[in-house]
Parts: sequence; structure tokens; C-alpha cells
Amino acid sequence: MNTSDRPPIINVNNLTKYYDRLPAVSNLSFNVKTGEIFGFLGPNGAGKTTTIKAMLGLIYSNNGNVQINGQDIHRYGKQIKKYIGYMPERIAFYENLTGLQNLYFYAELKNINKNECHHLINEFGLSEHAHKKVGKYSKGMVQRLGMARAILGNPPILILDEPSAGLDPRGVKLIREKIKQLNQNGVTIFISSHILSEIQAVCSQVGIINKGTLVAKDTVTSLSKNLQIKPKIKLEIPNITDKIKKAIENIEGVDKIEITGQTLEIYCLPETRANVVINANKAGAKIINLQTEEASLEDIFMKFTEG
Amino acid sequence: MTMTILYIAKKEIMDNIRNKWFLVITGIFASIAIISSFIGTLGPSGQWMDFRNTITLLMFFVQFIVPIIGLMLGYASITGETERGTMSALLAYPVTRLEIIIGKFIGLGIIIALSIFIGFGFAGIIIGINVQNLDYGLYMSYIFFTILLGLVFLAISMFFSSVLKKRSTSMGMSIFTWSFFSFLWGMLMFGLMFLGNTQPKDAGALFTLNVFSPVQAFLSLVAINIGPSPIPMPSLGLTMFVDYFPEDIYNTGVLTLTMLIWIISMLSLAYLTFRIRDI
Repeated sequence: MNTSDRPPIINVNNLTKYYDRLPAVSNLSFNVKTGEIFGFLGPNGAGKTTTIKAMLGLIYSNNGNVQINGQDIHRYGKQIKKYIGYMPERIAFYENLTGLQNLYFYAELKNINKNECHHLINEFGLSEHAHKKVGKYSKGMVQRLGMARAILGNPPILILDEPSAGLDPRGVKLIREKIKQLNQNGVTIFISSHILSEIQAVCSQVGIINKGTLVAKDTVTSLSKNLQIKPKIKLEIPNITDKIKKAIENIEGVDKIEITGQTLEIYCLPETRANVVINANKAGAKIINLQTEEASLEDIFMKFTEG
Repeated sequence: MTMTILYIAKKEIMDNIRNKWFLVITGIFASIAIISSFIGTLGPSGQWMDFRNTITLLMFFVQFIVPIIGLMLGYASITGETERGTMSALLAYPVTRLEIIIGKFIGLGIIIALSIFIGFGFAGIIIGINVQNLDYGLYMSYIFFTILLGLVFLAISMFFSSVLKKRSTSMGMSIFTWSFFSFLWGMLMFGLMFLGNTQPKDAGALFTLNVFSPVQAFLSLVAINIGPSPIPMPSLGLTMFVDYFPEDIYNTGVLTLTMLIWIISMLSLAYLTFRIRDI
């Protein structure tokens, strides 16, 4: 079954939250379907963390509510949270306890077999540091332990707030692969991030929040299509001339041309690409490299959040 | 619910044992008890003091030290975890806010109780080696009253930690509360008596008001059950007038109940404020 046909597992209904009379989120409504990887994008201060806190019942909204699996998070919090894993943006542990002792504590709270803690410690490459106080962990190690805590007990819903923040490329890859693997096992994943490549790499659905309001929700492909954001073709030409530029500009379907050094970046429809290359050749261009790029989430994000 | 509370309590105990708090507090209690008894060797008898005299002298230290230890253990219990970020992770687990309050109180309460018990207990053994025919029952009741005093101030500081958003503010309020009950209250009672030109035998209303201070309730419990402090100090307040205590209020039952009411009311207020707090 396609994820779009599946029932929603997270429902955010008309959520409004004020801090000191200023709205952090305003009338926010969206849902996340079972088995989906939902990317929640927005600039800093857009209301991403407030939304996540409301989803976990950590804050009380001024209006609206959040339902997980059809149940209100405040009313049935203890029951619902057995099925949620959470990785906060600012990951913190009890620093006087070791990594393993910290995981044991959380395993006890969810009534999970402690053997799973050992397994996770190994999986996230922390076995050598399992008996070291968390206060002595590096930021990357804390981040990996945070991911281990989030997936402890195999929760069917995972909420990740900026999961790659502060990680080295290897750590980013590890977390990204883990997210994909968990999703293949049926876990619904909600990722909040301002790192567009992270969202684009793993998410099936994207929601964009700006100034506390949801400004878009769809797949990356549909969003770019609706916004008429065109993919790019990049031509590396050592002898760029006005004649070549004009020959390309005149092609129907070419939206915009940008020149960076020896590279021409041409925004155009995919069916126009062949004409671009032919016309450039005819105008005397010696093309030494050619690359195509699909519409990026960055383009979509900028369209929705600019101004 | 019960197991979750116990897990939280266990975590608090482990956390405080590993950060050396427990050892430091236990060491303080053992030291002041041993010193209080040893001081006797400097007097004309040249002997260590027995339990009764040791305790009455200890009151002088305990009324300041135990409240501040209770406050220091609890002032960051909620607000500190919130500031550090561990509270949001904890509340994302299947844990209620009531379980957190009770679990933390039990865990930190055990730390206070054990450190007083072990500290004074160790001192008791040392004193026992040096003094004959000691009344251990008397000493145990003193340990119990001291633990009760520590728990009252732990509950007060947990209330501040729940209601205030910053750890620094919570610490400030805890220090104010400590100075108010440990220093000012006694002097205030004296001042009121002096201003009203009231004789102790006619100060029934003031005696009633006096038990609203948990420190005075503790001092009165010790004074009734063990004996008054040999050192007259303004901070002892009306506790110095043991002979004039109205018996209907100044008895072990009412004074213990007063301290228990302090604990329950402070913890209830802590929960009621924490329950609606945004994390």
C-alpha cells in the first residue's frame, strides 16, 4: 500500500501556542501517515521545536490539540508515549551516569529488556565507552547515544529534532541509514530539520513551516511542480560568449541562465535539455562537461520562506 | 505507577552517589557529631559528652546545616533538569509528572536520610566507644527528627524548583528560605515578644505561631524529647522557654504532624505547578 493511502498516525489540529503573547505556532494543522518519513522544514524560530513539544505533550497549547493514533497526547500521554521514540535537538543525559546506565534507566521506564541497551550501544559504536560517564562523551558520541535512546524498544513512531546537528559525515551517514532502515521496518518517522539535504535524502513527505504557519505540505516532486521550479542543466564551456548565451535564451522553455566562471546554469524543462545542447553547439560552444540537477528542496524552501 | 517512581528514585540515588554529594554530606554529619561530643574533653570533666549533651549541642549546628543540605539537594531537581534538557527526554517517556515529583522526592529523601543515618550512626559508634551507658533510643529519635527536618526543606526546595523557571532563581529563593527559618524567625519571635512586653507564660499566641516554622518545630521536638540547648542563641527563638511550652501544641505528635504537613503541602504545590508547566 502506498503511504498516501494509509491512515494518519499523527494529527496536529489547529495548534496555536503563544509565548509572552507572541505566537510561536498559529492554527497549525497537518497529519503524518503511518509508515511515512515526514520532513518538517523551517528556518530558525519558525515553530518547529514548539510543534514537536506539543506533539509530545511537553507544552500546553493555547488552542488546538495533537492526537497520536487518534488519542489526545495530554489525556492519554502515558499510554501513547510507550509507542514514541524522541530525539531532542539539544540532547542531554545524566552526566554522572555512564552511557549504559543512562540507557538502562530509560529501558526500565519503558519496561524493555536491558539486553537491548547493550545491542544498541554496540550498534552505534559506543561499546568502548559504555562504562564511561556521559559527561566525558564527545558531542558526536552524545548524539549517537541520543539516537540509541530514541529507538530503544523499537517504537513505531520516531520524532527526531535536528538529528544530524553536530555530527561528522560518518555520523550523518550512520543516522541516515538507520532512519531508512527503520522506515523499511514500518516505523513512522517525523524529522524536523533546517538541513535541506537531510530532508531531501530521506523524506517521502515534506511540510514547510514559516512564522508559525504551515506554508506547504507535499512530496518534494509535487511541490517543485506546483511552484514551477525548473530543474537545472549545467554546461561547462571555456569560451562562453554572448552569442552562446542568446542562442540558449531564445529556446522556448528556458527560464533563466546564470553564469559562474566557465559554467552556464540553465533552468529549463527536462524536454528542453537536448535543444539547449544543440543550440549551444551551433553557437560555437565547446562543451567539456554536462550535468543535470533536479529541482532541489532548497529552491522550494526559499520560495516559501523568502520575505 | 509504583515501579516508575522507584526507577526515578533509584536514578536520583545513583546520580547523587556518583557525584560525591552523598559522601560529602555523610562526612559533614559524622564530623559535627563527633566534634560535639569530643568538645566535652576540653571541659572540667575531661570526658566525651554523652548523647543527651551531644545532641543539645548538635542542635546548634543542625538547625543551620540540615535545612541548607535539603535545599541544595532539591533546588535544581526540576528546574535544573529542564535547563539541561533531560526533562524533555524524560517526559517523552511513559512517565507522568506526578511520578517524577514523587520519585525525585523519594530518591533525594533517601540520600538525606541515609547520609544523616550513616553520618550520625558512625559518630554514635565513636561516641559509644568513649562514653559508657548511652541511651541509644534517645539518639535514634534525634536522628529521626533530623531526617524529618531535612525532608521538609527538600520538599520546600522542590516546590521552588517546580514553580521557578531558572535554577539561579530557585537557588536564591532557597537561600532566602534558609536564612528566614534558620536565623530570622527565631529573632522575629523574640522581637515580637519584646515589643509586646510579653512574659513567656503569657505568650500562648506566639508559641502557636512559632510552630509554623519547621526549624522551630524541629528544635521544639528535640527540646521536649531530649532537652533544651545549653547555648542560648536568638536563632533558637522561643525554643529556649521549654518550661512555658503549651502542652496541647508542643507535644511530639503535633510537632511531627506539623512537619509532615509541611512536606505534603510543599510536594502538592510542587506537583500542581509542575503539572501545568511548559517544558
